[in-house]
Amino acid sequence: VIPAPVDLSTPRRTHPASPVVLAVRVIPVVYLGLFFAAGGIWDAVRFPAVLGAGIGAVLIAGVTALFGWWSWTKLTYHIDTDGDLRVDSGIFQRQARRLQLSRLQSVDVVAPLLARLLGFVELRIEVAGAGDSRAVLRYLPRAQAEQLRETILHRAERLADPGDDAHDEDARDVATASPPPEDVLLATVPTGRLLGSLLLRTSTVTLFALTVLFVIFTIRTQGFAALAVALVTGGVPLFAIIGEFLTYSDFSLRRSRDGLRLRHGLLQTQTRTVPIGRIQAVEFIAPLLWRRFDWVRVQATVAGVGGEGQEVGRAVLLPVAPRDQALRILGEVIPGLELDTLPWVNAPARARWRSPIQWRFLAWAAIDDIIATRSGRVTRRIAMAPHARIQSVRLTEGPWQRRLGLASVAFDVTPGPVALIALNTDLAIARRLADDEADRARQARLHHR
Amino acid sequence: VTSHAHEVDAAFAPPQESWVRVSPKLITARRITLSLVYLLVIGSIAPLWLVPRIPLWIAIVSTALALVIYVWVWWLIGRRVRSYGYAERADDLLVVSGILVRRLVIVPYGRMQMVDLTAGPIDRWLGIATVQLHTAAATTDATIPGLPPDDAAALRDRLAARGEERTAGM
Repeated sequence: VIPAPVDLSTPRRTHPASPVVLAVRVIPVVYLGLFFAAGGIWDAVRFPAVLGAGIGAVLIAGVTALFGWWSWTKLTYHIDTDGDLRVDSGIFQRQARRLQLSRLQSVDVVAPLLARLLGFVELRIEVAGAGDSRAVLRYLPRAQAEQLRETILHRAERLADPGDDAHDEDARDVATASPPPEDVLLATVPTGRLLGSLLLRTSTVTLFALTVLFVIFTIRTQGFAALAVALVTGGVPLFAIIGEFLTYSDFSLRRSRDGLRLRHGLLQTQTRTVPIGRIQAVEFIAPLLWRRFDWVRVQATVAGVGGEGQEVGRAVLLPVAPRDQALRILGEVIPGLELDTLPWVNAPARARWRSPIQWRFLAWAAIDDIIATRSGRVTRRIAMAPHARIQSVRLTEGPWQRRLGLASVAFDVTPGPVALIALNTDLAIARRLADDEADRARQARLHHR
Repeated sequence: VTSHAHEVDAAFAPPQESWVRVSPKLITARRITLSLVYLLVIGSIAPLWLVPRIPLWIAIVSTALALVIYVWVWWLIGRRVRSYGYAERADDLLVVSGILVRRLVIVPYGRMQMVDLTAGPIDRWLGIATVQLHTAAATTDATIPGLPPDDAAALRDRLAARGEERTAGM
């Protein structure tokens, strides 16, 4: 069901309850702050801390609501006659923000926990470029936010016409692709599998094993130094697991008109749209203990994504999935790539003297549109990128490699988690590989569009 | 010399008859920088000779060590600078560098986003400049130091023009 378009020609406001939502959101933080941080004060004035912190929190929430209401009356948004999204705001210092929708990068619906409980969400709109590139509308009822999102996406799509926007290639990718109009659910991640995968990660297992050793050591020797170490080795992975679990719970991946739509998060639901045309490289990651379940993680480097606690360029397309499912998703991202039939060129056997553990798995493959590299023994990684995405090629050879007649060839893509490098490849073919790939990258770029 | 020597040569061979090498003035520039750094080293070794409580052998050993490293790096700079080279092909630029770890970077002209021309105070005094290529990838490491300023400016303009040509052709 496509929601009815929202009329944006006249200035609109966020929901009138926004100041209340804002105020409710500060209560827990202020309460805990007053309760713990100002603990000494309550003793000094002989007043129960529970009550004092409560009164303080309500007062501050009241002030927040008052200012929230004031700024709410000053905030309006609409689409002006030039087709730009205008957001006017500010109590004392007026701010008029203009976002060029033709350069739209993403419209995300974000639902922080407390706001979500009250039925409200934020809408984050981002466009390419420096300066006025981002606006946040808080708060809107979810249904209205979804409608608004559709309306903005629709406007942006019409504006991103290839004719008048020849320089913005990525906007064009989005506009000319013609997937079905409605979102198609591609994958979800069951909670049990997510938790299992996090527990079975190599780093987690190693650190927990160390923790057990340290605890045993503590009990046997009654020395408590080891216990302190155990707290670190046990605590770090625990926090990592909790963090990732909260982030990737309720994961779903959908295909929509404008790209892949990721939605996940337990306390705070994140919705991200990744235009296919922005994906630069994809990587399959399979830690040792995942392989008996045939699980892989799929992550991608996406151009021009970053900020707000996210690693630059990183998009986890699937935190954990059975390999078949991952291969299907790969087909969505890089159509026509048959991972299992790639003509891998293995590193020569003498590479064992340079990479004794992973040498058997080191390989690269080049087919019509794609370059792929393989590495890792404990955690296996397969990285793939269309030739058209390769920015430069580097051939390197260290002293030990020189002795063995080996060299590494790296294929550079935009900043992000995926690194494509053919490690310890045969020196006799390394230069040809580098030259050929530079050539393929150029050719692919010419024919690509 | 190993059995792979000719393969190494082939792998890092220039596309035409030879690489365009950089100015030997870069050797001077880097040796000046090295000597400036060594002022600090002298400053930290001198007290070893002056403070009476420190045994003499410590002062002698550290001075000898510092001297050996100085001479070694001095010699290394010469080799390292002579290892830099570049070549402009029809569609891409090649840059080679390094003696211990050898590197060859290939940057297609169509991928260049920016070409930087920089020169520090020592460089300006000696009359050399650095040309650096940037692509959308942060890992692209294509830097050509030690070019005469006129050559550097000409190279930058040539690269920028070719970059625009290739991008516009798409």
